[in-house]
Amino acid sequence: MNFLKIKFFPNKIVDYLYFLISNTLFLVLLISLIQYRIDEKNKNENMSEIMLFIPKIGDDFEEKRDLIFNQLSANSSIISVNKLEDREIKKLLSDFLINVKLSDEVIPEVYDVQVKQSKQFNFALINNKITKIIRGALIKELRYKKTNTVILFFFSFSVLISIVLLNNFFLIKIYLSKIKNYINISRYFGVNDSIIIRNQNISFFFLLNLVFLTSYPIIKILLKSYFNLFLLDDFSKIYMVIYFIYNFIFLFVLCIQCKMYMKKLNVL
Amino acid sequence: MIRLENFSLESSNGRKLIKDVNLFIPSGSTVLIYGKHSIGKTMLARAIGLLDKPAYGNLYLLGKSISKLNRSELSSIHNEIGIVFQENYFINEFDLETNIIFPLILKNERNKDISQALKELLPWLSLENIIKEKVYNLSIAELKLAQFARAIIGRPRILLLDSFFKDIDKNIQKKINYLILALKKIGTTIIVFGDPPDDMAINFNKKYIIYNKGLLER
Repeated sequence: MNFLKIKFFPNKIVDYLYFLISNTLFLVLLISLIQYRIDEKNKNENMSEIMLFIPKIGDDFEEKRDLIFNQLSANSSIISVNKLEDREIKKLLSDFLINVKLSDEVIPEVYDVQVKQSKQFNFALINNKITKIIRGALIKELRYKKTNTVILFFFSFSVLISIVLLNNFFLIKIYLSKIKNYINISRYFGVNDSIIIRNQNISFFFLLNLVFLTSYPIIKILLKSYFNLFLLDDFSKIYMVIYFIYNFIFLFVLCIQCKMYMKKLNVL
Repeated sequence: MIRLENFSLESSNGRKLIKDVNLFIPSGSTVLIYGKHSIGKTMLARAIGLLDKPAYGNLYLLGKSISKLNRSELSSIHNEIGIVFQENYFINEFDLETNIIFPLILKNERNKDISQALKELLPWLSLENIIKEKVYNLSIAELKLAQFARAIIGRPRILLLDSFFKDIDKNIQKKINYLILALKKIGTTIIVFGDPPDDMAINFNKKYIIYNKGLLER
């Protein structure tokens, strides 16, 4: 006798599988959307980047480059300098130089310069110094165009939430009609309604936990591989908040639907 | 104890089947209620089994007026009723064994007690060899017996048997009569709706016929 099946999963396995798959899909979409929006917001807040360009010219290029770094190290505003890989530079340039093959020799060395936000950075002064060392060397602040995706985000978010709610509403409705005999016979033999509702809540709580467990690695892989987004530091916090809200809303709706369905089943 | 007070039943199309019936059935008694086809036997069984509401009047079960009870209190009365339906009412996804015991599992009865009750009951009804079968593979008679097993496994205080005996083999009917006697001894009130068993082995305390929308004692 399979007591767990009798108590918690009286319907066919395919119905529970459909619930798992559809909710996993919706959850992946929902989290990806939220993650993408937060990423966009962070980008918009940090819209400028300081870059250092050093053309590879002259036989004593490496020595002169070290001189430039010596100059920069004297500036207290600069925190660190990170070299960009050649392929990253090529990728950035490919947007402008369509169908042009670039040799590694002509690509300048590019550095991402991290500076203290609070201090005013004097570009003219530094540029003056470094161009004297290597002609064409340049430190420049690049400003990006702000992207305004708030409306699009809220629209997509609302549509997705509506689909999730509607899907789950009809899913529960169909599910309850499929276990109608189970509910009826249980009641005819003295099983309290609250026991049936509690058992169904436990089973769907278990399924929702499975959904959240399977979604986590999928989201991680998807964001990293396809959208080239790295998980935010507070991703686990966001995930937990969504977990609690999703569970609460679903189980609350399930309770109400169960109660209403049982009320309709017989007149007594 | 079962008491009907000015009790009336109507069919779904509004036809009056039973009108202003007053009846008292004491605990531990065995009663037969019979009559022609479509005269209201099943509706009466369903009303006493708390599946349907009467059109008018009061129904008292185990000393409580049903109309005054809330859903939770009704559940506790349902707990004391075992019912064999006219139609075979089962869950196709479950095997026969699960169909018989699942209300007990949901009520958190001990697994050991359930297994023991099943072990004692099944040989009486010759169901032990088909217990793992799916219900759609079984005959009408086997399903009726399974319904009977489901109805009595929880030791109800009221047992309602609707059109039960007509499909049952005579040898098994005798065994069922013994089970009914055992239930009587523990104070179960048994009401048989429809035809009685062939050899009339059950000693009915009272017999009623539904006639002219009333219950006449025979």
